[in-house]
Amino acid sequence: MRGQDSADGGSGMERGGSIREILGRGGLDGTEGSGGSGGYNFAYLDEDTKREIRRALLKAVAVPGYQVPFSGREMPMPYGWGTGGIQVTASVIGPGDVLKVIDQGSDDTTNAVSIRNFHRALTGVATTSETRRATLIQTRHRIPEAPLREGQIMVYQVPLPEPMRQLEPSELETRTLHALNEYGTMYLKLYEDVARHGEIAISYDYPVMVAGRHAASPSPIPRFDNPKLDRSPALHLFGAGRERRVYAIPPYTIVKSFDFSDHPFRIQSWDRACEICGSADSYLDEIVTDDRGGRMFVCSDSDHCQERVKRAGTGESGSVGPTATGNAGSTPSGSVGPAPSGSVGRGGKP
Amino acid sequence: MNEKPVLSASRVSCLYGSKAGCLDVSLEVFPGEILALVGESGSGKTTVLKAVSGQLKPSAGKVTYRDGQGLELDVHGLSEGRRRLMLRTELGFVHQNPRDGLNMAVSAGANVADRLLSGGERSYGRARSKALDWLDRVEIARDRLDDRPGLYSGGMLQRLQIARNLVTGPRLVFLDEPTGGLDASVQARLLDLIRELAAGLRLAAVLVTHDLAVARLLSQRLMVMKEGRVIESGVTDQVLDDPHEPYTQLLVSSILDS
Amino acid sequence: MRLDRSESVLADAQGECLRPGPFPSPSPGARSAAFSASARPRPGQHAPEARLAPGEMVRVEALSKTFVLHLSGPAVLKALEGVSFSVHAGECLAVAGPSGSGKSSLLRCVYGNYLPSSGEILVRDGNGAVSLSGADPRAVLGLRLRSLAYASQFLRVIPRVSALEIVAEPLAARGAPLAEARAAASELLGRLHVPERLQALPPATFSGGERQRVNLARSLVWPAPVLLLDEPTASLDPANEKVVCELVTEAKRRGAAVVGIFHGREAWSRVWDSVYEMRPPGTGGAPAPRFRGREL
Repeated sequence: MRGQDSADGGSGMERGGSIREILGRGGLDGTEGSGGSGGYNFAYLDEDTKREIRRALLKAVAVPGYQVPFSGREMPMPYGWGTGGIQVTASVIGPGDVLKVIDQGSDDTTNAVSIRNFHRALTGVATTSETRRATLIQTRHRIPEAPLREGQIMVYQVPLPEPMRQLEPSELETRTLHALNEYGTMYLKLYEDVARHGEIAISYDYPVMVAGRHAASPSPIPRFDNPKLDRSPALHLFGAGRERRVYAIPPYTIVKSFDFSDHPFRIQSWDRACEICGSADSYLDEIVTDDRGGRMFVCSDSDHCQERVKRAGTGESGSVGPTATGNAGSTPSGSVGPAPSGSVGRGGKP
Repeated sequence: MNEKPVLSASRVSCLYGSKAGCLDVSLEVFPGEILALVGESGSGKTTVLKAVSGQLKPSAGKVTYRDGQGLELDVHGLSEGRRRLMLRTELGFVHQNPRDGLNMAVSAGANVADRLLSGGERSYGRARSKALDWLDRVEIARDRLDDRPGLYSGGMLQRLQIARNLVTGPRLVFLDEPTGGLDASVQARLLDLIRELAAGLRLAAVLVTHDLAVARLLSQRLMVMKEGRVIESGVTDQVLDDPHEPYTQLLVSSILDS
Repeated sequence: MRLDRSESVLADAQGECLRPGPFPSPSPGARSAAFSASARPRPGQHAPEARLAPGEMVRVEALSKTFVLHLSGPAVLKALEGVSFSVHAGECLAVAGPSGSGKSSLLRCVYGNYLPSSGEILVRDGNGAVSLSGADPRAVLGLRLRSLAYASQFLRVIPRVSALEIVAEPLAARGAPLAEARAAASELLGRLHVPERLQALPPATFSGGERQRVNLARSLVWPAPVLLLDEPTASLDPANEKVVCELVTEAKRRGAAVVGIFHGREAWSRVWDSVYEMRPPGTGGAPAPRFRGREL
């Protein structure tokens, strides 16, 4: 998946670069665009569009988890590359924001870099890789390991906003089901999973109940991150570009993952720690290191990992290095691996 | 016999533009009783079935359902949410083509568990054991529980559809040509199953069929429809053995020769 | 369509104290408890006039039945004309007459299978009575459930069901536990010489005599207050005919009223108490019942 993303990201970065060239003259330091001068408006979108999206976002915040339609704009990149998230970011970003963009937990994958460059080019805002410093975090597939705080906004890129789509192809019907609070279908999906795998094997995009009322997709984050949504002090905004839907989880909203009383929701866990920073409680990625089957497990959140290494270097906390005793040949605990296997949910990007 | 009907329709008419689907049809169904609607295709029996099951709003007339608590509900005056809740808990609908009544994208077990989960069942183990229980009752092998229904035969599909409908213990079931399109031996087995379940669960049922032999074996009362109207009704064997209307006599003489 | 409106009802002066009360049945065993509940008088079941005398189970008055066959003309066929008789609890009436005189049609009318064209048929239902001329279908079904057993010449059942289940069904339908119903059915079929090996099979493959015994067992397995028998032993050997006669005599003893077509079979002359001689319609006035003095 990553390899594919890199290829996509590469062209995205080029495009970001070319926009900068077009804009060459600058004029990106105010909230008002350069207007008739032929340049782009602040944050690319025109003010009317931003206003319309903000209006949709206000409604989304008012009805947590409810999918609000909006008239998404054509963006200078294809659908599936985060157009929904970018439009949401562009609508809420201001000159004082500090922006962080991550993809699969990493600030330096090509996708993250190109989206960050895009926003920086069109707004001139400060960017960072530090979760703590950021005021606005656009993300694909992860929630940072560092705790979020009040005032921060998370923006998610969502490929399929409808959690029931897999079992109910009709949009009219899913909207009716949401309206009537009929979520038997959600449990049907879980039933199938347990019947087939002996457990709920959805590892990405694990559906949640927002504020006890609306079922929602948390976007393709690993289910490891689901608990971070529950009563989070930050504001979480979700943008689906192709489907033209936005929805929100306001601060301190109760977010519950769907489960059975006899098959309760649980997060992924590993019987090892990060081989770089030694973290035993973060989400790990499996990295193939050579073509002889060598591999290592490291934090998916690169900022979190570096922070820990830095702090250990200054003697701030804990020991560095692998703390787990297992050797490289051991497998992760349970059937859920770091690269989640047997995923039934729509894990990751196609 | 002071029982009250589970379902009553009073002077129901359904008009399609200027064409009448059914005219001035009244009927009552009591607990533990199967009422058959017979007539040739186009006689309006399916229209009546749709109207009394809440799927088609009649142009005139009223359909009343009496729920488990004895509350009388105007089927066409309910909110959408209440109507749907009623459809998946207290009512059942067995379609002629089981594919119309089943979710072919999920396993047989999930098909049976569906109504339980919709009704708030949150234990996988309980939902699954009830699904297994119902597979037994409709004589489907237990090891077929996790198969997709697409792998089932026609007779098995129909039995699965019946299990899916009955798992929530509905009080009233609509049967639309339930044995249509099945070969004779499969049909006999299914008839026996429906009869046994209906009697055992004291189900009330409305059966639509063009097969008078099916109506004779399953139903206690019968209504004969022609051109949207009920032209003759009574105890099933009486109507079939002593038909009074020319049309009923024609039906009986042309179909019942066994 | 309310039930009570269409039921013609007997308001028996004695009400629940009706002495020869054939129902609840005095048949032994736990079974009777299951039925007695349904025999209680029901509220609202009081008609303005009493039309069944105490102990009277079936009364037929000036009954006529005409078939109009619309597909052949229409042709008008008279099956019954001016038929009148009465049967009391514990009595057996033999319906006699040449073929075509309407014997089977008469039984079918009493069962509610044919609708009378004119006249009246009253059948006791607990402490009341149900009129079968123009009765509400549900009243007819209720009457059958509580009071009427009918053994026709044909066995009409769902193909796959075993003989045992077919015979147990009338008991189960009247509230008996399934195991009990099966035990009673098996015992009765045994008496009728249907071995257990056959009981487990569907009767589709049975011989005519075996099928007839299954059909008879269906109507004799529960203590019906009124028994209608259409040539019950036509295809039975003398040994089985004797058993059926015994069973019907036992039914009479518990208070059942029996109306049967026995077709001059000798064995039944010990069972029936009186004969109603039928004549083909249009061949003269309606004859009165002919009683054969029999010491009871």
